[in-house]
Amino acid sequence: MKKEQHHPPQLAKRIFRWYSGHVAGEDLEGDLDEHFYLNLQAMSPRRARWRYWRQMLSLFGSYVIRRRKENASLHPHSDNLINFNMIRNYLLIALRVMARNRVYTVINVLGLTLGLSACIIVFIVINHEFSFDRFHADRDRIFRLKTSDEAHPGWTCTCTPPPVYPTLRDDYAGSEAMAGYHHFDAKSSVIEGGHVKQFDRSNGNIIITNTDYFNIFQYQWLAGSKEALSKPMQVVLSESRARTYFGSIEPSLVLGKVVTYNDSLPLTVGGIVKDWKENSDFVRTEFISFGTIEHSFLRKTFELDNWGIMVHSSQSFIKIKKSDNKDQIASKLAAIIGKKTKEKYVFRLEELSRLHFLQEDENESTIMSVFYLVSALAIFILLIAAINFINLSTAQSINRSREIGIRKVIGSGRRQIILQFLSETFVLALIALLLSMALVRPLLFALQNYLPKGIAFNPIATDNLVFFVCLLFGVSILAGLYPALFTSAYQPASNLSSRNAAAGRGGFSLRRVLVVFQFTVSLFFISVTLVINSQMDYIKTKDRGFNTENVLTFRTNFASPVSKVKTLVDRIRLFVGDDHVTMQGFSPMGFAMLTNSFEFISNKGTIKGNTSIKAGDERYISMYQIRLIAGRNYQSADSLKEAVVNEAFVKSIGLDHPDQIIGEHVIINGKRLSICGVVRDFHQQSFRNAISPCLIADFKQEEHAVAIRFDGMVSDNTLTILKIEAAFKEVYPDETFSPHLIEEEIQWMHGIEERIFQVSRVAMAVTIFISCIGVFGLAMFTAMRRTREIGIRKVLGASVWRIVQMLNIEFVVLVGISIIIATPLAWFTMHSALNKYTYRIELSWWYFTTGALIALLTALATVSYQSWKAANGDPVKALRTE
Amino acid sequence: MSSKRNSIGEFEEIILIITASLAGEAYGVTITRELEKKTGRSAGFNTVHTTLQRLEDKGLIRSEMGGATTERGGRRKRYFAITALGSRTIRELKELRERLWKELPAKVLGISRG
Repeated sequence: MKKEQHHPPQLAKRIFRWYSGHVAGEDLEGDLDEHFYLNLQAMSPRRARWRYWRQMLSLFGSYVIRRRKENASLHPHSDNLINFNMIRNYLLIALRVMARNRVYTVINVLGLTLGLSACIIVFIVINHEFSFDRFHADRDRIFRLKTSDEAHPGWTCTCTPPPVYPTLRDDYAGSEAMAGYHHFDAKSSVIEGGHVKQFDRSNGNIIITNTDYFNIFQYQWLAGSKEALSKPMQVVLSESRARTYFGSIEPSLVLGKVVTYNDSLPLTVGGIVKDWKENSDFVRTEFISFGTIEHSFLRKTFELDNWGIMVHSSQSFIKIKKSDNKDQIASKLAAIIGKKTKEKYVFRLEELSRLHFLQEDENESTIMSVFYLVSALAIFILLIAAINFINLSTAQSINRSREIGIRKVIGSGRRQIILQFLSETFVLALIALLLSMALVRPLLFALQNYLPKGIAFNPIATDNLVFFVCLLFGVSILAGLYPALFTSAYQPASNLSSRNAAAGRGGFSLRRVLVVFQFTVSLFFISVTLVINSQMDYIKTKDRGFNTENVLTFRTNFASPVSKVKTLVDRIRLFVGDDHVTMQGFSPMGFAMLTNSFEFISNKGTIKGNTSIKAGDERYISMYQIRLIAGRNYQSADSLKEAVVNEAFVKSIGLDHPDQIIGEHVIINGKRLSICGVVRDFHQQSFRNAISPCLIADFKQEEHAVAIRFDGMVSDNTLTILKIEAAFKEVYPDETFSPHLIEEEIQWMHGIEERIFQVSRVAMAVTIFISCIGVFGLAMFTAMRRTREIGIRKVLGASVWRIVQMLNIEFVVLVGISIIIATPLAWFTMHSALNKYTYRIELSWWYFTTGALIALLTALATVSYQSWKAANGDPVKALRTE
Repeated sequence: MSSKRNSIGEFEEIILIITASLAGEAYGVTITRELEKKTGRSAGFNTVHTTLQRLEDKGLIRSEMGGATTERGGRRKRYFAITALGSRTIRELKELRERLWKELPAKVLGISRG
């Protein structure tokens, strides 16, 4: 009786059932149980149970189970989908179907290839952008110091005044590591085999720093050690740079060799580090020891004791402790610095791995929104291509209803038909993927002007491979699942008896919804592109209040005295004409802006405010053709006495009329200036910003740049430019002459707009194209399905025109619905986008009607070809077809 | 083909003979018990079933599910029975052995026993 209470272990039983599935079923389980109960008579229940476990486990991977599963999989209603014979058959059928319906295949492959290429390129670009400086150890605790001057609102710099880093190193012990460096822009030379080899300036790859730098940035030392940087007149080279200088020799043999900078600073190589392989914005090739500054002419250049200068080339990094909060550290640092200087500096810590997105003046959020926008575009393009596939294959599947009927009658399960259709999509997606992989490199090449530099495509990199596989399966499911479910649901009886059972004309169908969606997206892009186009036109052609046509500008060394600039300008005036040249600080419009606080003094009292400052000699206003609307221009004088302001300045101190300000006084930097004239407002920043108050005067200390206006195109004045360069070289033998057009800089300011415009234009073209080929295929199908109807209509007297009309009307209705949906969407989007601009075009109805018209006409043109062909068919032939 | 079908191992042969001898009552448990009783060797659960499956693949035995009974919680048994090919195979094996034994000189037998 007692044994009745014992049962075989339930867990073992459950594992066995899970493992063997439905094949092993009852007989093996029954045998196991029977053995168990027999064993109970002979041994303890524990041993019997133990034996049951052993017997059950012995069946894992057993031939019996394997063989039974194999046999079961041959059964038509089997769950086992991984059957290689059937998969081979599916692929064969897929290829045959594709070969039979060439037009549909081409449409689908073309659309999917475009969509996939867009996705791949966007993926590569974003992946590249996010790859910068991700490899540093403890990168989330390493920060760059950004300095703002509280006394001068708006003065911020991703740099630190030179004394900041040494002060913090000595007075602040709470960090894990700290580093400071100065960029050193210099040409270099080495003596090799008795010859002097000269090298041009490298762009920001030479820094002057000390051993601390290597506590933050990790390098592998191939020769020497970081201790080299604790001695003056030493330099550490990267492996690649050492190779450029001395050829491929052993790193240890490079030690002790001499590199001379700017022909006058000979430094001894004290170490070689391995180059970083990963992407970084902080690639350095030469590290010059800090002590070198004190021991050479660099002392004058770098002004290590000057608290008042902020130049981009001096930067500091800090690595904080795990427990610390970056904002608290920032205020601690500001407190320490506050004790040393009168300047009111505050700091912000910027995370190393995010610095790539915080470059210079560009805003991180802008870049991110561009990423989102571009990813959304790529996904939309892919979606539209997938819709083509869904539409065409559901439409076409009616032609295959008999095949499906027969398959079902012979014993195919629904799963197998779904799998068959999915594998057809898969084959198509695979072909498209391979094509787009082949297209990626040419496309990257073609788009190189719009993409970040240094993007490479490696098809077998792990991230790329993972992305490709996800894309392939994602697209197969996205495009293939609905058609597969739709088709496999056909009832064999109705399929086999009548051909039109599933044709379904009229009413609400998914196919129509999808076409409406496609056209809505296309239409949206058309309208948006039209609006952006007008805004770009407006930005380019609107009167900015000054003229920079054919104006070339170049800078001179900030450190050298202004009298040298004067000498240079006087020489240039000899051959370009007096009023064509001006000495200046900044151009009227550009990235760089100088802002200062002022006090306006009148008999009513003192008004304080901020103004942007343009420094220039007395020819500045006339050279840039800025219009004076009151008073007169300031006169050339040895000391600063007069200034001209703009209309916004007049308004900012509450005066109504420009004439009222003439003769009043303003104090800037402790200097009293009399206002002698007012100019009309001119743009100083991007069109997003309102025109701010501005003061133009002859601030001699700021005038380190020269601007020259040419008569006629700059490119036609090569000879004059060569002369200018020669004059430049005479005055500044060690400097590089690098002129640029102001117009180019202004174009750059709207670089993001320009890029968005280009991208939206491409997106528009691609979406329209894919939608059109989709509609083309659908129209072709409709015409084919209605061949008999058309034949009968013609026989009964319908005109060709009438039939074309009849076939087109369906698509016109669909496009009409899209117009109704897309117009408010596009209006709303553009309305909020334009709101970011202080200076913008007004949205008008014609952008949207033009967009609608373009969409309608393209759709009609696409469809009409098919309709025309169908309507012109021979009715006799039409009636003979089944 | 036929030679392959005939090539069966010693254990397979024993299982085949036992299956035949249990006529009508041969299923996993009885076969295992009989094997233990007659030969004294115990075989693992998986070994017995794998052998039965192989014999079935070779066409020497066939199996069918028995009717549902109140035994074993209603789980049916899979009964095995020898096929015509199976019985011919064991018969041939027996004849082959006897022929070989007859030709074996008595002397050799003696030596081998010694």
